[in-house]
Amino acid sequence: MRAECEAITRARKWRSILNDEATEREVDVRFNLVKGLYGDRLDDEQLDEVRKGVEGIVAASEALRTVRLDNGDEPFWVFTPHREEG
Amino acid sequence: MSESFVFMSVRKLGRLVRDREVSPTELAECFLDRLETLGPDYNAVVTVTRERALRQARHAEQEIASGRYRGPLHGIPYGAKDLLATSDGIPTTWGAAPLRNQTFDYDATVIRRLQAAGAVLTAKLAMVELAGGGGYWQPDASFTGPGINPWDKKRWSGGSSTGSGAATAAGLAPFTMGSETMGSIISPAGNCGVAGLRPTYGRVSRYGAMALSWTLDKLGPLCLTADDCGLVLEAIAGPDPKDPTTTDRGFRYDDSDRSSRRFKLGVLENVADHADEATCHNFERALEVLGEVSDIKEARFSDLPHQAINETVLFAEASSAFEEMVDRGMLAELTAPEDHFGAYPRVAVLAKDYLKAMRLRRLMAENADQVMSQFDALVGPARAGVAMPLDQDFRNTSRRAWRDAMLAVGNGAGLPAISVPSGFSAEGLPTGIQLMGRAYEENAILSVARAYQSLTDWHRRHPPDLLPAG
Repeated sequence: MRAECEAITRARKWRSILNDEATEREVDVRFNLVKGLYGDRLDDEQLDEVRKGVEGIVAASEALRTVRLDNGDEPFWVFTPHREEG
Repeated sequence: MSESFVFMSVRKLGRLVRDREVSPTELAECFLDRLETLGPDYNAVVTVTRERALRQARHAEQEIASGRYRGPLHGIPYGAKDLLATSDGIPTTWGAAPLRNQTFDYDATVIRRLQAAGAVLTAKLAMVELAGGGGYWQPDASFTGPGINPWDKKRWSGGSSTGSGAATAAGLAPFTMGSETMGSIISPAGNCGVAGLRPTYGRVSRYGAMALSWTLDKLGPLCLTADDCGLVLEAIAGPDPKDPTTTDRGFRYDDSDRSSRRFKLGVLENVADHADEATCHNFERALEVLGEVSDIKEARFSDLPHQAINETVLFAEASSAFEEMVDRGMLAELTAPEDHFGAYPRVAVLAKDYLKAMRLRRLMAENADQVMSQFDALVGPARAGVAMPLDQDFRNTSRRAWRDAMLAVGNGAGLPAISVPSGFSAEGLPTGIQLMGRAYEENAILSVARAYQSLTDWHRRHPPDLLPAG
């Protein structure tokens, strides 16, 4: 069974989401991953921009998490455009 | 060499070729000359394929002379976005400086299909480096320079199919091929005042095309008219064992116009809220025109995080697609400074988020189909504004575009759309409308677009300084 779209709760805007402590921690963890892998190639200014990019990615994660799905809701994979017949 | 063929539709040129009133060689030479002389003015061309073009043109000429006419594209020159693989030692650069000498020993399926239809490849066309895969935020993001708009040389031709839009609008080719992952056909078509068709995902094989996002990439034509888009789509559509995502559903272009038919059109609530004044004004006028042949009602998609879904899918897939380039440090050789690091944050997309996005994508596609099943097409502005200045940082504008529900749902759900010109701003820059259809209903949106173009003449207007003499 599929979760109902009405279950969506988007109480928080993306930017304000980033004020949450847990979210900040998540940004730190993910940014440090990128920095650990590629930081030696990037200067401070570029790293600042990379961090902004990571913030956007974490914000997108938060937006995805606002929608509840059921266990059986499968990924659209291999993806094909959907078309009901009839 | 006569330039009277410039700005002539593919349909009309095809008839002239068929009736042997013009030879494919004459046509090829006309457009090759324009590509070589005018192409640099618009940073539209990477490689002029003169030798191959003349060989193909002579072959077409011989076939037609011997009574073997292949159809409306036979002997018609075209240009291809430089992310489509071409053999014969012709570089395929993906718009990226570190790949400027990249070659392939095969032709992309689209190139092969156009060859089978008798079309003549005259140029590989400029594009934003990696089709925007570096995360660029200003027009100067290609080793060939920023795409320059034929309507105003201080404006951008749109991305990422910059050369395809400019070459079509400047009369450098009767039609061109572009690609769209998230707006890269609709945007340059709107900016340059031409027709651009984004087919249903899987309608056209992507084999031999640079991958930015396997589940979002589409290939489609940019032409002077909607009718021409239909002709080209018929030639390039169809299943391809080399691209397992291609559909088995056949496509035959239906160009019959039934004057008694009224279309059912939908308009999303607030669809033009973020549009600039000219775009908004011309969109309202377009709705009035369409109202002559259509019943128009309001439409609404479900409240899903469309932007987050697409962004997560695109970033995760692009991160994998360009993994080798990233690891080898090739990003530092790209043209736009922001492309030197723009791909790095994407490493931070979690697998579970990618899968969540793909799960939500199903809901998005099902809802889109439910909404779209009530209409022949949804109508909206092609872009939120006219072509931007070449020196503009467009991060804010691009964020606005991301919130465009037609862009997000259309690409995320793999739906077809066509952009056609809808007028001009006070500065003389084109505006466009887009018509988006249900999956596999290209004929429906083409029919509406043809009806609109039969009631307007925006598609018959061309940059005055580019009109052939006489």
